[in-house]
Amino acid sequence: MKLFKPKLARRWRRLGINTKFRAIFGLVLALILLMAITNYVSLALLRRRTEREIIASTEIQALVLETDRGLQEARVLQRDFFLRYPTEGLTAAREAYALEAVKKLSQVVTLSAELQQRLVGTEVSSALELYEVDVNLYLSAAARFAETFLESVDLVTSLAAPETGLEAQLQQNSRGLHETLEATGDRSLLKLYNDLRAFEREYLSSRQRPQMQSALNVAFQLREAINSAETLTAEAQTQALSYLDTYETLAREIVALDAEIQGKFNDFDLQAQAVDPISARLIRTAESEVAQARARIAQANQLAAIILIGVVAGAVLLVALAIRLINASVTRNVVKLTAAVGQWQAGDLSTSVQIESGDELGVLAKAFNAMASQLQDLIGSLERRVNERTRDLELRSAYLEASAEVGRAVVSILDADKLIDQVVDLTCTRFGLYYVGLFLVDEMGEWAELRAGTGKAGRQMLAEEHRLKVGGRSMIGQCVARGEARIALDVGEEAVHFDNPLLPETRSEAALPLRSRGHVFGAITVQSAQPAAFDEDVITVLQTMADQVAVALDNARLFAEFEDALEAARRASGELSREAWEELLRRRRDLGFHSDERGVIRAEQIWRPEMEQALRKREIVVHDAEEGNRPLAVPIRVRGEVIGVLDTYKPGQAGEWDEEEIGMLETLVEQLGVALEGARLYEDTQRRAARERVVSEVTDRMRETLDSAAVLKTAVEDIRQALNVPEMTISLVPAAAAARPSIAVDEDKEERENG
Amino acid sequence: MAKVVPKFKTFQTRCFFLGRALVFGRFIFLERPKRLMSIQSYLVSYTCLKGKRSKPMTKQMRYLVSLMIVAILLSACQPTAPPFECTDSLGCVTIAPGEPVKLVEMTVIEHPSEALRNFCAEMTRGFELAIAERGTELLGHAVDLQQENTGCTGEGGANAALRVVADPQIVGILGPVCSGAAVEASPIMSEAGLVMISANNQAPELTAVSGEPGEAWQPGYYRTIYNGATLSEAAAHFAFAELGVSKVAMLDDGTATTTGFTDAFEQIFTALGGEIVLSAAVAPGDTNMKPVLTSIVNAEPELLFFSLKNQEGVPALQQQEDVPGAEEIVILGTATMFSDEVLDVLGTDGLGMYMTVPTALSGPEVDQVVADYETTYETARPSRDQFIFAYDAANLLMDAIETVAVQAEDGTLHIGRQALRDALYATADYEGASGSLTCDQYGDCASISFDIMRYADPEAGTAGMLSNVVFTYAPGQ
Repeated sequence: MKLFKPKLARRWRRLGINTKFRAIFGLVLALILLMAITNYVSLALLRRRTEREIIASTEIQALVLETDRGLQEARVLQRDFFLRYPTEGLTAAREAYALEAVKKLSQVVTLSAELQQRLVGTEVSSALELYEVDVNLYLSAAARFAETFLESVDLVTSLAAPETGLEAQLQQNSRGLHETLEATGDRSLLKLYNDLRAFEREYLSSRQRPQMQSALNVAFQLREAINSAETLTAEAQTQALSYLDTYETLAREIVALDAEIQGKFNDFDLQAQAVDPISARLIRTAESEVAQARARIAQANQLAAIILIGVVAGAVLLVALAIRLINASVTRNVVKLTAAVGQWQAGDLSTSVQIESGDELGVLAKAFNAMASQLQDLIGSLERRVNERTRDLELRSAYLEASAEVGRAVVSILDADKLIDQVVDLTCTRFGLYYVGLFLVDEMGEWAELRAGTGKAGRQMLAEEHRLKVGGRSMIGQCVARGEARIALDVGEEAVHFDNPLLPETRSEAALPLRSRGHVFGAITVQSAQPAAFDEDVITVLQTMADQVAVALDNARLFAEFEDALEAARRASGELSREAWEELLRRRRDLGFHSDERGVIRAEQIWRPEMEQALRKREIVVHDAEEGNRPLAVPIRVRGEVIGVLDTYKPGQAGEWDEEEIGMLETLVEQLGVALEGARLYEDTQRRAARERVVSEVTDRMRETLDSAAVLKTAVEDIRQALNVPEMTISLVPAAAAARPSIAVDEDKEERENG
Repeated sequence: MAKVVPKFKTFQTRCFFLGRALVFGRFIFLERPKRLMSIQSYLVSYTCLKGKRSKPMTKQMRYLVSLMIVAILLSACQPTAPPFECTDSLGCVTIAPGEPVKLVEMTVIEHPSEALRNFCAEMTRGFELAIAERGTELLGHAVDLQQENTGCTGEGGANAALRVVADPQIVGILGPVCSGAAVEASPIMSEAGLVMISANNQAPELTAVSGEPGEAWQPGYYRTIYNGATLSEAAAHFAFAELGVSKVAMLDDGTATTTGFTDAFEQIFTALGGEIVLSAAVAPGDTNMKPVLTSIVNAEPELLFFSLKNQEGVPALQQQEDVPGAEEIVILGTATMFSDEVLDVLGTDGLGMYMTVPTALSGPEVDQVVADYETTYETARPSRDQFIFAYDAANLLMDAIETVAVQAEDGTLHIGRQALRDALYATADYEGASGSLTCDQYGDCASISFDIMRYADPEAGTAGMLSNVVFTYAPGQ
């Protein structure tokens, strides 16, 4: 058992909940079936008991009937006895009827006693048990009937027994009296005697006491007559009086006996009145009990079948209902929970269990939901934070990208004004801002003047020449003065109310200083329609962008300055080049060629109109006449200076000049300019190289000696030769006056070089 | 922070449920639950419940409840009361809880004589008044007064007695009305161990005559009315001493009462020196009285001791004038015909006759019973006082039952039959409405004086006779 229990327990634990419920409800069903069987057995027992009651009731009924029949027979015999003894004789009647009646009564008493015992038996129904008192009465009445009957027989015997009975004695005594009186021959006495006998006979026939009383009264008169009668002898008188005394005594005894016998008859009647209803009731009750018991058996059988079917059906229904209930309230919820846990385990953290129940499963489901929700919240929070961080990073990346884009854009732009416009537009666009403006500090450093602004507001403020005091209360003023970024938000404890009517939607603003090489020369205002749009990271990015812008602006400024210087240099270079080309063209006036079907020839110095127009306009001139040739003149540029014109034409039938042809010509002409410049420079370089060689040779020769005069001599000679001039003088001066001659020589030289 | 106490774990809750369990346990397992113990169990439950509902129990309260629980548990271990064992020589009547105490009134329900029926009804009311005075309950049991009809005959009495003794739950019998019925019923009653207290049986033989047990005396028979021998004694003394007659004829109807009167009269009168010249009798139901009146005239008595009841007495008096010489005879009757109904019928017939009647009962107790009677039944006081004797008979029986009954805890009554007889025989100086009652060994309990009154005014009825008392006889004086 000890080994079995853990095994069973383990197996039980391994079973699924559905199997467990099936097992439990199987047991419940078995229990109900057991109950049904018990009911059936109970009903069977009830049926058996009822059958026993039927048997008992039937037996009691039979017993009552037998008892009653015996009693009735005894009564008939008793009646016959009293009716027939006067005619049949007391002895014969007694033997024929009285003894039989007594036997019957004895049987009745025995049966009554048996009936009494039966009624206290266990098999008797409660209805019959109630008749215990009646049966007691029945029994005692039967016994009394027998006793009374015997007494009445005795009384009758005393009254009517032949020879010894009172009536016989009375007759005998009357006869003696009659004989005595008759012997006297006294008619009056005989008349009285006859009267006496007449009353006596009347009494014997009617048994009415007054008749006997009348007889006794006559006897009183007879006594007086006898006493006074002279016809009687003393002996006869004594004899007659003796008879008369006996007569009176017997008469009184007969009357008393008759009264007593009448009392017995009354007694019989009363007993019959008492007993007859009892037997009738007992028989009726026994019959009723039998009928009821049979009905109970039939009912019990029917009930057993109904109960059996009902119990089984009810049990099945109940079990089904219970299973359904359990399934609805437990199993299904458990399955839900299991499925939810499975889904949860599979990674679906949004899973929740909907169990509307207050039981443990409901609590478990709530706990599961709470736990899942908490975990989901936790994971969601983490994801949100990751997303936020990702968004931040993306935003920052976007900002950085925008910043880089702005940086790239502004770096490529060297025009400051264009740069400023681009900065504000790009910043506003790329950063998704509501408004961006750029201020530059004036030359005096007192005002920050708006140089660019986005949107209508920007344009309006530019038109109004919007400017802010450096060091004033404005964010731009503060930003420029302090050289650090300023942020204003309309949220939080330090919320700022923005009241620029031109920028009504501004909810966040930042002022970013434009610094370059440690100098703040302006600021950018960025405004967003989003609250709290700027944090440290954004500001950092924007500031980086602003720094780039500042550098770019500074670069643009430097570039402009450089451009100016370059332009100046270029202009100077172009001038030199133009002068060199003018010098060259002066030296070679025929420098120009014409190409046609005949070949290349020296071009005539004929300037057609389109050529003059291209030379004047410094641009390509195309004459697209509808008829005739279509001339094209392309200026030839060298370092921006037009040094010549390429002129050509297309016959009218060849069509117009297209862009490709024009572009190609432009390119070719441009390359021509470069080539010409190269050729010129080469020539110039050759010339310079020759000069440098000369200088070097002269210098070398001048340095070949350490004698000053020799040096001077060599120098003056070589330099004159190098310069191919007819004469040259070198004179040295004292130290005090050295400055002036030197200067005179430099000025001369500068004048010579500048032309 | 409040500590959450789990349900069913507080002391009060445990204590409460323990108390309830004790209550049900007692009812289930104990054969006869002791009321006191049940009350204690409820008390525990109530105390615990009160403690649970109101506030935490004090330490003292916990000790008290614990002590009570221990006491109950200990009491539960005690043996239950042993079942009642009847040691009465005649057996016992056991009356289960809810069952009534069954008493039987032997009376006359069906009879040709309306006067007799009315007379019986008066006595029934006397019994009912006594029972009603106790709230129709006796020792917590209802009193069920059944009626059995004797028909005022011996055989009727016997058969009624058979019906009574057939029911073993009958405790006692009140009645019967007629002595003849009592003579036949009392042996049956006595053999069955019952007691019978009559309020109207006057036949001397039922108890004793001159200190000797009567022929019909049976143990268990009692009466609250006078012994008829006393009435005869009063009549004999009146006849012999007051009227100075020496020759008396007697007339009865052969029944126990009337023959009892005549027998006693004869015994006393002859003892006084008188002579009984005739002892005549009629049969109950006889209507022709002339023969017997003739025999009486023939006997030439100076006085006729008229011991007849209404049914026979009225025609006898009415036919008196039809028998020469009969009217000349002084008639001394008994109380059997003392009623206004009889006197109304008689009118002038029987005028001048004497009646021996018990002295009218009086006193505050009587007044109270009479008042109750008149209030309850909305009728005037009957002319005869048997309803008061009936009232006393019922009280005597019920008091005796209360004295001897053994009452079990559940209310079951055990009444020893011999004990009940003994208690009734031991009645002494019992203050009844009819006077002080002391029962002797033969069952005579009353001590009544008699008045001899003359019927002189038919219009005045019994009231006139009561005011016309010519002789008073008190026993022992």
